Amino acid sequence: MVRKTAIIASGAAVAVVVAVAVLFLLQSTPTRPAEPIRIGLVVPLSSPGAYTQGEEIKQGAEIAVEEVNAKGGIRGRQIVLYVEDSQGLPEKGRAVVEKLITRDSVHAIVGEYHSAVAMAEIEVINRYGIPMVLASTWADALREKEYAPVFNVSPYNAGNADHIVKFLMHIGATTVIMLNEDTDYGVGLAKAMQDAIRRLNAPIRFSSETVERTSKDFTPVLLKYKTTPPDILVTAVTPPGGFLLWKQAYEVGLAPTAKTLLYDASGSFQRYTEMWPAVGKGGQYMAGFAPYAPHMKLTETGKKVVETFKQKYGREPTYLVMQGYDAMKAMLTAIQTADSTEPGKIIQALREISFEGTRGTIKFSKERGVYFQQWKEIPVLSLQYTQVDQSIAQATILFPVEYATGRLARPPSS
Amino acid sequence: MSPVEFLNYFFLQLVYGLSLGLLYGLMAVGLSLIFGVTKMINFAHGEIYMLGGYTYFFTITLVGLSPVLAMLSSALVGILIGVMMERYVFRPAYNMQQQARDEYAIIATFGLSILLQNLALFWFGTAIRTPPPIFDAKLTFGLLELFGDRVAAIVISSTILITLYLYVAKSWTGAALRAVSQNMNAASILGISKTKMNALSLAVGGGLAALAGALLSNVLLVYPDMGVIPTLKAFVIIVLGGMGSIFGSLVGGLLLGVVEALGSTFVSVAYRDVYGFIVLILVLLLKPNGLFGELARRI
Repeated sequence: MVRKTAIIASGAAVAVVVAVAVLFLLQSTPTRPAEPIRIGLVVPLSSPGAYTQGEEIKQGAEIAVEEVNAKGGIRGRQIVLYVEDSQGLPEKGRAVVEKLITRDSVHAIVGEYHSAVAMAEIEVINRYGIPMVLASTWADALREKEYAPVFNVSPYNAGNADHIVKFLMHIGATTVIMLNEDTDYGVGLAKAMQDAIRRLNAPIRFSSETVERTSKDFTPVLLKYKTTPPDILVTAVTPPGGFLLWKQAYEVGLAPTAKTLLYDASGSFQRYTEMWPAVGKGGQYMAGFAPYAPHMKLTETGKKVVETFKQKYGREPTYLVMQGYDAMKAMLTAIQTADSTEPGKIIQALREISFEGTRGTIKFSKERGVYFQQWKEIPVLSLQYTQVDQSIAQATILFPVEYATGRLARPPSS
Repeated sequence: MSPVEFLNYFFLQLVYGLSLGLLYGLMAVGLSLIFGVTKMINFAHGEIYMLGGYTYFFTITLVGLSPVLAMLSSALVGILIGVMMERYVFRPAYNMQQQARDEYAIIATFGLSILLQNLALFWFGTAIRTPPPIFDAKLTFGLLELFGDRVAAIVISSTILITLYLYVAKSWTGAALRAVSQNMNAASILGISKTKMNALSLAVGGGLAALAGALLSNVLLVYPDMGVIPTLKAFVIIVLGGMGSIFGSLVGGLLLGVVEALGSTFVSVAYRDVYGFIVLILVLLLKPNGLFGELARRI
């Protein structure tokens, strides 16, 4: 009996000691911080890439990250950005994406501006099955590959071409010359324009020529069209080449004139702070394609992004800031919805999510081909500067009709 | 197109091609001078051109200098960079004598080119800049319409190229430069300092590149990698004209400008760079030392 009591007593003593030790350990061990969510951001940040555009995408993406981190992150996990420079080179893009996945162990990747670079990057993305949201890559070939981990919030050539052709029909243009850059985006847009003209049965005589993106002098090709000027000269060349092209089109007297309208299909003409000093009077009466304008209908999210950007950088954002923000927000929303950083779960969530972006509700299409996992309904506009030194907010919205703030203006006949 | 229209059109293309060629020539002549004297290739030449463009832009917009003074400031910056490059990049290579000297120069100047581009990106940002026009007017000569800045660039480039040619051909210093270019050891025996001539060639070459950057900043805009393509063209031109020949650079520049313009017009603009290389290959097949190059042997 005594022995039994002794066993019970010593057992109880051991239990008490263990309980105290456990309590002590629990109290003395510091709480481990939640593991951060690692997101790779790949954009061109140095030559020969379009570093201005890359920087703007980065600025937009950073706003989205700061917004989430300020609210305590996703389920207490902060977002950490791993920024890599793709330099506008496919081989470099491929290498940095590989590095982000294998060395930095990122959970997801966002970004890119050059379609040709994205073409190389998505091969790596598809091999590792890591989710990626492309910010501003317009080539349809990217979506036609139908890679499961790749999503796109960007304007896209097929959609843009549809918009431009409808605009050309709206203004009654019948002869159209397009000068496009020698990239996947430029060549792809020329092809998409031909397809759209056929699909929409547009009464337009269209021809295109490919020019070098890095060219400094476009006068020979511009002079070629001076003897028989078209109704509209459409350019798909990103700056600085684009700026030089517009400046020289004006200098040789080809466009904009009373006969020939000048139209930018690259979205670059809205970079008015750089455009006006470079192009000068050549920019007056110039029209162009824009996925964003400050006076277009923005969502509450869009208005907030504009305000934050203005406070941070003291100027109006361009569409690329919006693209960067929307791409990053799509990824963060998917991670939150999936409640996981597992690639498969994020990809599944990306397929299903529907959230408020800067210019509308973003959801990814399940259609195949050029619309595969694309934000299909991304709004696009055609605008026109009617005075020198106008800001994009002062430009007239010409098309679609429901957004229009004015009618097409032409230079007086000389 | 009627024969008259065709002739007018051909003439237009020819004039634009020549004007572009003149601007190419201005860029190439400094590079050619440096190679002629030092026998080393300067891959950072385009970045001196770029810094000349930025100096011009900032001295006008921030300091408020007149275009003429701003151009002189650009030239001065180019001269300083050239002198510093001679002292810290070229001279160590030169002192290596034959031991991997060319490789050193290529790697060092190539590295310097990347460094300067990235520093420009860091200091000046990514924005594309354009200084106010030098001469804000449109000049019309029949069918030909030229804007003031292009006319100014053509006139000033021609003046600089002719002055440089006369200086090298007629002055004592020019003769010394040519002597070092032809035979460095013989020139040294005659009392010509190769170090001074090297420094002079880098200073003049740097000054010309920066001046070209300033002069073309209105026509071709200012941004961190603005020197990359002109440098590539300049290499084609100096090989075409004959490495080290100033007159060859001028003729090579004009030839390249015209060939690019006519090829883009009458064949296809998509192969613009190809035309220059076809002419280059043809010239090298017929005249391996370029149009005005001389047979040389390093002693």
